[in-house]
Amino acid sequence: MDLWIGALNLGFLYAFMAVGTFITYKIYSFPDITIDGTFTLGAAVASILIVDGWDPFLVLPVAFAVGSMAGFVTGFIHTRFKIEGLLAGILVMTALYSVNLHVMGKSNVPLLNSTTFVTVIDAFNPGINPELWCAFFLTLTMLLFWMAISGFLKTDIGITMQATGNNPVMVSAQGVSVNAVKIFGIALANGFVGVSGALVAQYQGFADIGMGIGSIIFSLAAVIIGEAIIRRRSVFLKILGVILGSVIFRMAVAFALRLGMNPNDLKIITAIFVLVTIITTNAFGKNESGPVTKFLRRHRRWVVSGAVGVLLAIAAYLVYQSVSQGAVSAKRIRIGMILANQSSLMTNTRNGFYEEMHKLGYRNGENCDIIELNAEGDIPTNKTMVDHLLSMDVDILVPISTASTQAVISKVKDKPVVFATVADPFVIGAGTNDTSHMPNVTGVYGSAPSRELLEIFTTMYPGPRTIGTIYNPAYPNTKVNLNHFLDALKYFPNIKLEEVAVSGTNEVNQAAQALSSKDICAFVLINDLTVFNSLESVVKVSRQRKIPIFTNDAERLADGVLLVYGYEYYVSGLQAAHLVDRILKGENPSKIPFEKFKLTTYGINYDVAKQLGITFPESIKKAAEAKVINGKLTKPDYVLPGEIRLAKPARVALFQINSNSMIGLTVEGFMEKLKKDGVTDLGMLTLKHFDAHGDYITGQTIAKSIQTDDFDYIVTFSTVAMQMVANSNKTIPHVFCAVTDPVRAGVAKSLTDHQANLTGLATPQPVEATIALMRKLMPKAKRIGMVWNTGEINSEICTEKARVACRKYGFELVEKTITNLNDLEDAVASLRYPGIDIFYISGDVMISQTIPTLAKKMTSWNVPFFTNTSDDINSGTFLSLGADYFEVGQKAAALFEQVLLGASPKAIPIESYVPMALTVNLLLAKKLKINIPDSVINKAKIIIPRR
Amino acid sequence: MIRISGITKKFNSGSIDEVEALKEIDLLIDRHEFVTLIGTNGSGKSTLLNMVAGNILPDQGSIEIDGRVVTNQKEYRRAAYVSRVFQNPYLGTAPGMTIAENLLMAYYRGKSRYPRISLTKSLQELFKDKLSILEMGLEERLNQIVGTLSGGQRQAITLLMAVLQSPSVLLLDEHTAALDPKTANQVIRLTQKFVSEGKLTTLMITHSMKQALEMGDRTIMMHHGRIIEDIPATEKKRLTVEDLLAKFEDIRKREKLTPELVKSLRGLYL
Repeated sequence: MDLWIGALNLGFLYAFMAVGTFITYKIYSFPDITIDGTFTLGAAVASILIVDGWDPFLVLPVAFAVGSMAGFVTGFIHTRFKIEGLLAGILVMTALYSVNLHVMGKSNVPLLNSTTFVTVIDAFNPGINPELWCAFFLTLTMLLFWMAISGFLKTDIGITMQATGNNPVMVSAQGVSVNAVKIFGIALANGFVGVSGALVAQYQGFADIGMGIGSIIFSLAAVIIGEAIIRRRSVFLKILGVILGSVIFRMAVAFALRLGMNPNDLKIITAIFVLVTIITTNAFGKNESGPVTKFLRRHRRWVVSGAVGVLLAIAAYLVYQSVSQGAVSAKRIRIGMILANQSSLMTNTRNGFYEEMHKLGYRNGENCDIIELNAEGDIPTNKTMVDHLLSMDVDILVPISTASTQAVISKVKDKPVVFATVADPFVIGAGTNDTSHMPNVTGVYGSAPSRELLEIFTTMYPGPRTIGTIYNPAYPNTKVNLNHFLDALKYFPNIKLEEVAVSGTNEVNQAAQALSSKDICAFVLINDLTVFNSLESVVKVSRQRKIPIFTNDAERLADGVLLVYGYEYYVSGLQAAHLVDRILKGENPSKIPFEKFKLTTYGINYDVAKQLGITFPESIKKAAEAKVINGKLTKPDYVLPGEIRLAKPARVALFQINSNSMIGLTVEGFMEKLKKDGVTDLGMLTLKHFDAHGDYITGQTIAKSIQTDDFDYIVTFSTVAMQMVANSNKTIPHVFCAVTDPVRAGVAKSLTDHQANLTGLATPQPVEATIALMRKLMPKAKRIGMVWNTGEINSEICTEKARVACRKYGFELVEKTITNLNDLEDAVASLRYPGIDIFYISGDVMISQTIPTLAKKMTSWNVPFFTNTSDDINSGTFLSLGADYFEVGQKAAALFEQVLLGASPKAIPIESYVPMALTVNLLLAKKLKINIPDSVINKAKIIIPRR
Repeated sequence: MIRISGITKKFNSGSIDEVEALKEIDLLIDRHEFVTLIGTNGSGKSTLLNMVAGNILPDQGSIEIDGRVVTNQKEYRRAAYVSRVFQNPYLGTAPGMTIAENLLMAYYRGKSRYPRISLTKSLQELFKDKLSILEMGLEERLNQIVGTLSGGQRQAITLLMAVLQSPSVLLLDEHTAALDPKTANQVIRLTQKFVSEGKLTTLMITHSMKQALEMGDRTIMMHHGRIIEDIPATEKKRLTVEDLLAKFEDIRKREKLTPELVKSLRGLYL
């Protein structure tokens, strides 16, 4: 119910603006874009005055006056300089953006604890639904406004305005200054728009720099809808049409939400809605013709009954939905989540929240419903979404972002609210400190740790330095972040700051160029959506001018910045989930203090350092947890300190295809790590082990049954096991290990871009290390013979690595390629005559099958045989250097724990992990007269083969 | 009284397309005088009319209306005492508004307009009376949209609007040229009626020689930005359409001759 009344109220408030557009668009025949800025201007002025203690009604004439002034400027430059109305509007709108920022002093002014017209009206509320009470007053206001404005258009001035739009030549001939009347009308229109902005700001509880964006489109839609439904000439009916158009538009948005439509689609639905309205009303109008209208008129009966049918169906659906929801809500928990936009900040928070909720035992669609809405950057939509969630009777609201939180807390007083990823909840009025806050609200917040970042900066660059920063002051949170940054800077008198403000992504490159010419020693970027959306343009300058980038945004480490120190927003969602859990279990939100983000990431990028010719001090190398080396990002685990406890039981399937020594070791390491961390002792984890014993078909069956048997997690050992599960399982979290190359295996595009529900360890062959060891053991050796199968990509990769390593260690690599085993004998034989000092096979599956035969041959040739699979030494090879699969298992367990604790596999990059294990055959060493130094023997695991 | 002294106007000044539309025109039109203005295409008669209306401002010279110098006054300010009817019957009225609203615009010609509702019963009665003069039955259709009327009806309304507040000067710019002959006659009759009853100082451009001779007290002929004939009332009465046409024929001949004459003179004396 609140959803519809809320839409009605918003429709009324926006009707002031729509009437303004009616004046410019219908009377003067040009769409005045100024209103995008004027709307915000009215809101900004009103909010600032209200915060200053002004009466919420007294600010309306002021908003009208400033709006009129903006309109006057548009009208003046339009008429005086003969600039087209559309262009004049664009110019003034653009200028107003800066004006509005100056008026507000920041991008967002909250009115949460101020007296607004809503609170004044509510003071007289006899106890009915406040939204309905507000609607009652607004309806009266609207009636007055309707009468007033229609009446005004009937006066001499009103008629002159209409005549001016209708025929300026005639009006001029009647002694009227067309320019003056135009300016007057545009000013009047913008006055109403200013009032509209002032009212909407009060109604939604804040003013925001972005709130006017798209106003013109909405207004035009309202005017056109109004015109379509009321096709009469009477000014009274025309104005009524505009007001109804505004309400209908807002209702349509609410309706689309109610139907569960994707907010992404709202705009196209709006367009279609307006179009259909126009076409159908044209069809039933008298003086239109055309194939569509003719068709509609001819089949009028069908069209009408069809429309009625659709309406009935929708009504039935709504009734059904509310009935079924009523039934369901008795047993399921409903969580309403609002995101302000699609930025990674929001989505990472959300992912963290989902994962942690799942871990805490909340199954979306089973024992709880998480209703996720996204305002797609449209600020008033946040408000409508709150109404929508309330109409769905959610038990708890989870707003992510400052804008969404503001919309929620200004409206919701009797339901718990847990916010996440808010820079500063105190400026928006959610509380005065962590423990003293609105009784129904708690959440997770934090602004970027600027001071720590600057400290790291001074470690690298001591002494007096100049740094540069770029930001868009219009973005919510940016101003907060900037202030924190400036506060932090006070602790560093040696650092001088050069700042450049931008208003769009297209200006960022220029800003960076400008800074780079000011002799700055580094870019230190605060968290700002505009700058981070165009980080590449800063990186470009960074590379050209060799100026490193430092930032608080931990997620951008791999994108060309030198050093990051900041929060993982994922953790914000994770923490929020815990708060939601506590409240749902009966804790009172007023007793739960606000939490700061718990995890920071300290990351450095070696690749960038190399490009810019920078070396990190040892202290920083040691302290950094996340690293980018050769394009590979390694991140720390997402384990909250002291949080290894599982609230709900979980079932885990461990799956292996065969049980050779490598897999056996991996599983052993995996289990031991879980045990060591106490995860298996919690009594919450049921581990079930599946082994296909080398049978492919059995493996397939197991893979299927795991997915249908209600397991919460799957862990696979070996490439084939991974592929069997990953192929059909896209939902159950899946951790893999003992896999050579997951990218080639098809589950990932890169280590960071992989199938959403899985992550794991890649363990490639240590080719270079092997060749380095060859050099160490055989300083005089010249030639390495290698046979490989060109049909295997992994073998090709190993060979490529071998070529590079051979060059590095001064070997000549003699390659022989085969495509099937029949050619192997000849290929190996052909190595005999140029003569080789070492024989090497690495990662080639086909040739590895014949290792015992090859080993025999090499022994007869007195050539040492190196491989990368530690078990090969039992088949007669001389030395193997490969991964320690026990450690691989342990590492996989650590990864699995992250997932178990709520990390999204999607967010965890696949890690390339190769703990070296060395095996060497000392008997053969003696025969080959190779001296093995103690340092190598000490590292080796198997020294004499069993046989 | 209109006093035009030394008016010169060039269009596209300084470019290849420079046109000297008016060349040092001097003209005095007395109070209550009705002057018809004829001339060849591009002779400058419309420019002259627009100059009086204030649409076009002169390069040189001055214009006086009833003793006031209005040379550089803007059109909408001059409209307080100068009213005009355009050739295009659709230009003089606002098509989307009612007859009454259009008349209201004329009712306040040159006066301030306030946010008050003036279109009361009594004013509507006044409008009805005035409309009945047109004898088109429009007095019963006060709230009809002007856009739905015929061109003749609209031109009649425009004429009524032009004289509603007794202007000092009435400018008629071929105001019947776009109408069918029957309607044109009707509008001409109305014009004569309004002008004579209101004793209006009137300047009327026409393409019809007959109109030029039959109407008004005086006829002025223009050619190439100059006044070439000024025919007073006494002479007008004697003239026929043929005489007028003969005068134009004279001009044409002179036109043709001039360049040749110049040539022959040059051939003789140089």
